[in-house]
Amino acid sequence: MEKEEFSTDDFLKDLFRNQSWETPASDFTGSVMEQILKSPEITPVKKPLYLILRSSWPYILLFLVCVVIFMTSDLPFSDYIPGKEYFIKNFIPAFNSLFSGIKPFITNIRTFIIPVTVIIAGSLLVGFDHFLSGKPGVRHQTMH
Amino acid sequence: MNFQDDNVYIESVLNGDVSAYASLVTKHKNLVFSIVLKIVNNREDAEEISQDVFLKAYQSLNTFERKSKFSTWLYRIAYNAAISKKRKKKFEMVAIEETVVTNYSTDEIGRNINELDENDRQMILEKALKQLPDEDYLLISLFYKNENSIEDISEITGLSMSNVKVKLHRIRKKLYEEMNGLMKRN
Repeated sequence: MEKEEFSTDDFLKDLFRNQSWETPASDFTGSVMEQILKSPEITPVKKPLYLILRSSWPYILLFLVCVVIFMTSDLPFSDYIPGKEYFIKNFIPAFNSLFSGIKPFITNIRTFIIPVTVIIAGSLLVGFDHFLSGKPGVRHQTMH
Repeated sequence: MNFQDDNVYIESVLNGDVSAYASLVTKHKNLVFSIVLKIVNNREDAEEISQDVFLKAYQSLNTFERKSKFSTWLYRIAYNAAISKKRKKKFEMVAIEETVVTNYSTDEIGRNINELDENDRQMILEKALKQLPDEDYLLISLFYKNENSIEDISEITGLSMSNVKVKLHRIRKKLYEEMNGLMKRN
């Protein structure tokens, strides 16, 4: 089907150029402004939490990935991260028992490294894309 | 009347200059009114709804995130307000009606119509437009008259972009067919 055909239809564009829109009553603007001036307050923005979470999940994910990487790394400066010792002492054993069933799979570095790399790369890519394009996680803007 | 960019007025309103909103109303009132009128088919209702649209837009100005044009955002409010007023299932956004379109050459119609003088051309177009269903008239007017992009129309109407493309394609065909019929009759 010739989907784009209509977009280059200069003939119709020319024909429509001389068409005018309907016009409301002459005091239309005055009536609107009169009503606005009765209560000129603009409703303050209250963005629901779920919308905030929906639009910021890549950043949250990226943050968590970074935290886990630094908390479990042996990098010298990571020793200064507050709570690292507590994290290693308490959370690592907890995770260890939680995932004991899949431990053999995880400890097999060859099979584990691929999905981890994919997840990290994907998260970074999504985060970077959002950072560059500035697009929200939600397509349409809210209209209350 | 020359208008500045919508964002200039929006900034002024958000900074406390309520009167700047009057320029936005004046600038967009005709199209908002036309959109609403096409859907509700009653001038009195259309006037009332259009006023509500501008009030609603004013009160929600803080939520306008400027990721799309102000006009697109405003027309979407108008479209939704008119639709909910009309509450007519017929105007739902999913179904694409199959229309029987006879074989003809758009170039041929174009050539024939170009032989007419400007007044006759406009008369034929107006008559043909009147034969279109209101929602079709609205879509094709937004595209050709207001020069909204497919993306804008998709955002205003809530239709997917591909649905808008298909609809426009078919409306255009219908319009050509109507014009062709009118020219043959005259």
